[in-house]
Amino acid sequence: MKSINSIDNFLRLPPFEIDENRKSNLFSAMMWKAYTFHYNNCPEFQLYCQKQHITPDKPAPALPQYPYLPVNIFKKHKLISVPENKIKNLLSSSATSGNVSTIYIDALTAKRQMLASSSITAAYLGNHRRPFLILDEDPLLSRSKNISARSAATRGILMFSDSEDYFIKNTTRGLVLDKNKLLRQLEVYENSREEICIFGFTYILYNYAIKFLKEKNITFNLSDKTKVVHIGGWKKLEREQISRKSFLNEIEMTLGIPKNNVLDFYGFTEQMGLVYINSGDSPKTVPLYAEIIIRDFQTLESVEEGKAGLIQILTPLPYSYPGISVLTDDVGRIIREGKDREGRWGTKFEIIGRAKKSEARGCGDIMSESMGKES
Amino acid sequence: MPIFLIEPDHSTLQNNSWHITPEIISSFPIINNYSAEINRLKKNTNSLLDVSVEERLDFFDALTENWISNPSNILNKYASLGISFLIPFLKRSNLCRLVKSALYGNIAFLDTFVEMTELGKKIMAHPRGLITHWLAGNIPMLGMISLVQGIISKNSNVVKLPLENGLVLPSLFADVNHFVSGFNSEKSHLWKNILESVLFVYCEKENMEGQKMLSKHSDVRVAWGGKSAVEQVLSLPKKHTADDLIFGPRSSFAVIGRNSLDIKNLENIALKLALDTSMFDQQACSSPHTVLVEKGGQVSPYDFAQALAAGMQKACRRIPKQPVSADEAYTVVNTRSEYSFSGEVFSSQGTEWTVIYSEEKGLADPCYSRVVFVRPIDDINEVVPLVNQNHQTLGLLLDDRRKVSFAKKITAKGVDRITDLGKMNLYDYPWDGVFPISRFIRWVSMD
Repeated sequence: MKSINSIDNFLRLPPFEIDENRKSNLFSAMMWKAYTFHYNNCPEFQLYCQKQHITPDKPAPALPQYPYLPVNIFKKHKLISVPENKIKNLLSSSATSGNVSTIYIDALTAKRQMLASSSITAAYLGNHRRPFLILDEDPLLSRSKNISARSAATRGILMFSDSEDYFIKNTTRGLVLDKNKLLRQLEVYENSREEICIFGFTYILYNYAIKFLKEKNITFNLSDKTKVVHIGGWKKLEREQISRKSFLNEIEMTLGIPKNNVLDFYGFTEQMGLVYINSGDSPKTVPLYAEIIIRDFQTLESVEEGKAGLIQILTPLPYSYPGISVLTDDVGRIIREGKDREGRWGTKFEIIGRAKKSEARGCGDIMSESMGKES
Repeated sequence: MPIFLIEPDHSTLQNNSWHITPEIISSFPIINNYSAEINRLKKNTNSLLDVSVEERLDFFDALTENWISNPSNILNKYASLGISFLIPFLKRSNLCRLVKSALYGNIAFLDTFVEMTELGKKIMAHPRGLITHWLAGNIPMLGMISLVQGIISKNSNVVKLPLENGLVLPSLFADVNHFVSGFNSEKSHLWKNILESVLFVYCEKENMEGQKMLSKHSDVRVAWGGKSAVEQVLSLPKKHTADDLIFGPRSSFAVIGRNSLDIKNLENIALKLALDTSMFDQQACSSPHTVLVEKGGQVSPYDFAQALAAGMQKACRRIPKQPVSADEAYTVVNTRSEYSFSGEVFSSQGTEWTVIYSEEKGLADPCYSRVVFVRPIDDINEVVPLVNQNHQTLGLLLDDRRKVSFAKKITAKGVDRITDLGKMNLYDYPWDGVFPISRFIRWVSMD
């Protein structure tokens, strides 16, 4: 248990204040502790690792040498590293098909997820609370099947809210945006100059709110401390040929919010708790608690800065399941290492897209399919 | 949305890409009057009706001789696109056998009336008229199979190119033109005219008016490709006299009997199967995805999987793997990981090749990208219920005593071809249950 406690201490360190050299040794040590724990406690993971000849009786490998589990493995195998009676919660990924990842969460993992998620988010939003305008259904009133997965995705960020207003209604025509309510609330906050946070899935935020304001020529001048937080990926907007640049420009134009206050969150169920955020048009920064490796499509080797490949994320965070080294079906590239313009340390990267045929699994994708045309 | 004309030249090749991109499409000339274009094509073709089949075979033979004697050019240029598969197909001896087998043993039927003693009359094979070939992008050279048979049978040919690898055949034809122009012989003019019986076009899938136009003019519709592609062609209106030749989605597998494999031939057999698997990176309908190995022989199914892995490594040196997409790479890694829990995975470091041994029953879902599944079976007859009409080729290694009986059962269920290992991807005939050339002709008789 001592080794696990030290991972918990590690997760209490600030996410972006430790430089790469210091992080490197610390992170490697934590990864090896986590690896050894899961190797010894999850028989399936042990078998998997043995076949790749990475065993705890050997010296710790370099990060690119850690075995990795593709995210799809969690759809087909029940992978648990603690006694089953310790499992408190099952996390399911959203998916358009019947195949969902199931992640087995115990109390310690849940605590770690919350700790990591809040530290990372606070580094971008600040520690104070503010009103949240949420472009989703109220989970308490919802009849949607997929609301639990969406709630899980948003739960972490609501720690930063002191009140929540929801603007999506479930009607016989599907989910619709309550435009009148949204306009009323935006007007209230424009007048009060109060700092707020507007939160939504990228496609919903753009297609049902920003586009509407733009088409109706309605503009607001919200407090310049207001943040827009969006999650769920760019796939659908890219299909509609909306570039990131025009997305940011239109938010600035309609809401009066500086581009750098628009925060794009990336994360996935298989490593819930870790979020990768970028503000405006800057790249995403990997927090202390994780490291990114980009794998070449042909050689599967880790590639150098600037080259595209499949995104692998390592983290010692998961305790109840062996999701410490996961290969995603997202394609990305590392931009650089070092500090960003706000002084955050960590590897910078960008997401280019998703491996072409892999199923759309984001909450936003599914929610947008359910959206009706008019409120 | 128009139908575009694609001239067989190299000018359309941009950034060494074989794909038809939106930028390239905008540079293609538009066919304003498709009917007039078809009339012109038919006129060209009809002016060549007196060019004998022998002459046509000579042309293709001379072409392959030229390519083989100048290997640095054509063979390198199209190495990854299946040129090594095309050359033996185009050789005179092969084409002559092909035509003969489809024409009751006499190729002269295509040139004139020939006495058919059994019928007590003379018969002749006329071309059907216009063949439209809807090609698939996965194996660009495959379209040559139907196109060459269309040319030999004296038909006019429209080739509707796919987006993926759509520029391969126009480029290849540009090279053929180059060969013809440089050929110092009186035949040069004649051969040049033969090429004038082919028209390359591009028409977007969504352009239903264009697709209907292509279909309505066709006397034979040949469709290569996946389910949705061939179904779209079949749904188009056509002449009531038109015939269809569908080369739709099929998959293939191999079976090895217990008495057919021993330590001595293991390496050789494994290499042959590895080459079958590696050619076309398993994109061909004749590529094997699963190998069922009968237990109880000198070599166990597991040992065969190991030997096959060594063969795959050798085959990879002989037939370099084409780069894979992000999706293909992820699928390969995911499949390997999945079977690491329930089987044994042998693979290259990268995504080049994978052999997966598991004791599951049945045929695996194809993963492509040179991923081959080895599964044990207790008895060869277990294979029969697994087969249906979606299965095209069976690579078979089995003792003669059981071979015919097994072949009868397996072909009755749907398999069209049974070949030796190492020959699964060699185009032969019948293919997909038909002799294509026999569908490109119309028999006429005279007392």
